[in-house]
Amino acid sequence: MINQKLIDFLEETPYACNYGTEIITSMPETECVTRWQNIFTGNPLLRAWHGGVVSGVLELTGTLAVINSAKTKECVLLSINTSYLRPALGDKSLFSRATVVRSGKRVHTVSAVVWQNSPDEPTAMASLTFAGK
Amino acid sequence: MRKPEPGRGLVIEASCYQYAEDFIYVGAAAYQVNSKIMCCNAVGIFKSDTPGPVLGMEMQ
Repeated sequence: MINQKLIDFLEETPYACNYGTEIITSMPETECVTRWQNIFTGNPLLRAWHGGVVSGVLELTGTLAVINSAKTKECVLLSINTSYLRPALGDKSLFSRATVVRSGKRVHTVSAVVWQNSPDEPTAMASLTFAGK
Repeated sequence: MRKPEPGRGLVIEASCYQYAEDFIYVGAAAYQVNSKIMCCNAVGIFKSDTPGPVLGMEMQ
């Protein structure tokens, strides 16, 4: 079952629409899939996803996790620390999962990961902090 | 740090502050056009000598 607020957020946010990210599930954790588009190419020689897009998918999934857990629609990214672990190969989808580590009164700490073949082989991971209202 | 105002462009300043072995350390900051107020900053570590397009810049 998917939280309707998350679907609304994806449909109402222009930059999220550009990614074409779809929610797989929002319980117990937020999981999404982002399908490959040629405009995501970062390195034409490797035909790999651009790191900025990968980071954007991590941030978007983290935002959805905060909205889902904090019951708020307003959250602002304060910081993101992304580690690129493997090349994200083109023509393949990116799966993402975000977990709210701690939700305080004003600050939410989130952990997010993306993978292609298996969650055991993560492509990148990120630690994020959001300010929520 | 601050929300950029919609409709105004951003100026990005980036500089390489260290090149050690195969790793390039870069710092960057974003400002709104005609403003000295920083909106956000970033630090990135890039690995050199990986396959990719020629960027037309040689680093010493």
